Amino acid sequence: MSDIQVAVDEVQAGQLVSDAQALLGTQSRSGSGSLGPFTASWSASAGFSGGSVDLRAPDIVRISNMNMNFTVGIGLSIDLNDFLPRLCIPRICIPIPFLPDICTPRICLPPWPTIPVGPVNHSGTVNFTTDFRLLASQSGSNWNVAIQIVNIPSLSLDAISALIVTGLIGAVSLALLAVPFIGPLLALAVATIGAVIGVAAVTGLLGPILGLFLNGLSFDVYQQPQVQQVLPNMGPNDPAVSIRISALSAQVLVSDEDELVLDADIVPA
Amino acid sequence: MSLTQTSGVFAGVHEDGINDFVTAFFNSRPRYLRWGSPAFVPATSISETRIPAIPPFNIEYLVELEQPRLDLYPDTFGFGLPPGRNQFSLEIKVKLTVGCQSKPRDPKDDNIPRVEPISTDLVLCARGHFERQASELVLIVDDVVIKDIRPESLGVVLSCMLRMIVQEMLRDLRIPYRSVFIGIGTLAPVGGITIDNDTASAFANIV
Repeated sequence: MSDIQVAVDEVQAGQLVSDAQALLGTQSRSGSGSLGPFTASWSASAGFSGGSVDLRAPDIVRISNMNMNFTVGIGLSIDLNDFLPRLCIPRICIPIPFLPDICTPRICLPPWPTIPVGPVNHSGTVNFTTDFRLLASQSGSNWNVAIQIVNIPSLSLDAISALIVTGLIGAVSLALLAVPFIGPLLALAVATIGAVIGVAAVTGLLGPILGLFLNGLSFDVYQQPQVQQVLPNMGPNDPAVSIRISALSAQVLVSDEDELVLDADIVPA
Repeated sequence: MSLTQTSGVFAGVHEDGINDFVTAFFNSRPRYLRWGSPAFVPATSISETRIPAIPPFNIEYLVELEQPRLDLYPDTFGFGLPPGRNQFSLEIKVKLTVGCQSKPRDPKDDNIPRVEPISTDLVLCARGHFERQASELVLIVDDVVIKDIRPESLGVVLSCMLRMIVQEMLRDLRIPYRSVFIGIGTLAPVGGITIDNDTASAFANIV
């Protein structure tokens, strides 16, 4: 039997998780990835909130309907030469009797530019349910009890991706308007580029971005120093009294209620 | 039956854990185990506590206690006063020394009485319970007896004296709920403290 056993019911375990979500705060990442045929650069941030806790023996904390609140910014560079024909005035020859033809040279406009698009920012929330495993460990001079994600859940992103696609196509249209001589080809360019930036392409980019925030996701539900002061210093003859937590473990116990249980051994410090 | 019962958080401190808190207290503050009047303890320090001599004859005395060990219900250690439900018991070896004035004051001497210490060893048995006072677990002594002492009335007299010392000794041995619950969350205590299965049980809610 351990020296101290602390049990927390499911409702209050939910509060520990909520506090841990707030403690983790907002994480940020950036990188680049494929968006259809393009390489997109992106930056993203995400935080977590909500969810209901279901404790499952021997060491699982299932959180249902947890929110991942994220902001993602996606930027592209599009080489218009990949989508538009080069504009040229062909060579024209005028035949003149008894003399050589008079021909104009073939005149081409300069190649189409590469245009920057975005970044297009989108903030949203994606909701998921997944299992976390209880892990007690020493970290420096602290004891930590964390819940660590077991499997990365599959996220429903198509609705969010559709909104991002709309934003990206709007940004492409805006960027094309600034391109000289594109007038007659504007509709063609928007349609061609829009066809390759589809929902599937955005989901293919967004899924791995959000997956980075879920991979190894861990919330510290308990973090305390190994040496804990029991009584403060009360003067020169009464120094502080402290104990040290020498061992700590965490589990889920099931009776008529599911409880998160910490077992601690202590020694005088 | 769940551990938390109707509260949100439960802490069960086994008697071994309680005794770790007790050891931590006396390791840091050994003065609570040695109480003496000025001839024995000129000044209170970290290792001893000065108390007044007994008037009007200025009887000098010294009480040295071994560190107590607590036994939570049910009886584990076979102490003289076994704990009842919701009680703890403890046994302390006590060395009681009286400063016996072996020769009268003599103005020709240095005017300081010669005190010859004479000692006896006693075993004090006590029984008590835990109370929650605000957010602290405190030890309350209910009964004290001196083991194997005759006549009985002498035992009663010494018990009364030692009970006062033990109460004083335990007065400052308070265990905050923060420590009982090893620092989990910010707590609002709920209800009192019960003792059963060698374990003190406390309840709270995380706020």
